[in-house]
Amino acid sequence: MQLIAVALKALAGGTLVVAFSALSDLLKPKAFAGVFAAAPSVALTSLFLTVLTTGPAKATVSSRGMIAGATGMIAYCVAASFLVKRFGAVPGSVMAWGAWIVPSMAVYWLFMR
Amino acid sequence: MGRMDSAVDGRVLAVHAVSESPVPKLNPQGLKDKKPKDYLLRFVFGASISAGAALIGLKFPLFGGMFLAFPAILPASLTLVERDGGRKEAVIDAEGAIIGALGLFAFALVAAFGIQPLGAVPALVAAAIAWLLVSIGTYSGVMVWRTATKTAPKGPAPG
Repeated sequence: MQLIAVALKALAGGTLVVAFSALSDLLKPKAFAGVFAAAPSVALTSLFLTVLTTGPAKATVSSRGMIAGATGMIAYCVAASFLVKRFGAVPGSVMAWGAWIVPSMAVYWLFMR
Repeated sequence: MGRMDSAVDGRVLAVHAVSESPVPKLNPQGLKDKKPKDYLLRFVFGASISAGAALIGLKFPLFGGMFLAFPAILPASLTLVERDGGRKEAVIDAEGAIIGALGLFAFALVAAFGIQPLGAVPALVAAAIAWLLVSIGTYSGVMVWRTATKTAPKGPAPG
């Protein structure tokens, strides 16, 4: 049952990511389209399916954890905009993962553990 | 591909150097430029991070929740934007994503504090609305700032 829920989350998450990506591709200017690159596509489907399969208490815990990840996401995007400018999209966006890990782990470690 | 536009180099925000109207419009050509494998790649990234977060969440729901905001899709998007529009477009896309990430933070706050008192569906709808309002509000604010700083008349020369 748990693995079916994981598979459903993967399917729904991937589908909503494609939907938001298509919406982003359909919009201009690029700065506005970029807003949809950080849409809560994975979170929306995962939290909804968590509520359906295990109940609201676990979804609340997951969304508390997401606050730490969202702090890291802000840092990631700031770092990516500088690193992509300097190194290009592939190396810049991969290097920026470090800027996600550090603040996410810091918020998790300091406020949530 | 690779060199930045000289007008963008040296500015804090690349979006400040863009002359395009900030008003959102539909661009069907943007969809036509994409190949099915571009969307397949994004599906694989999205499905992988969803599965990863779910598997971690089975044992550690709080820690697994952190990965609901993992930037798995953005590297794929930035790579495709750079391929189709050049590095300047990719930088502007990343700057737009900063605005979306502020909205994502609002989404997480509303979901974390809303699911228990409001119920799951109303709280997730409220969280999605919070994402949209914060994102659109911040985008509008940045664009008003961009317009104001571009058109502001220069003061008289000192002396």
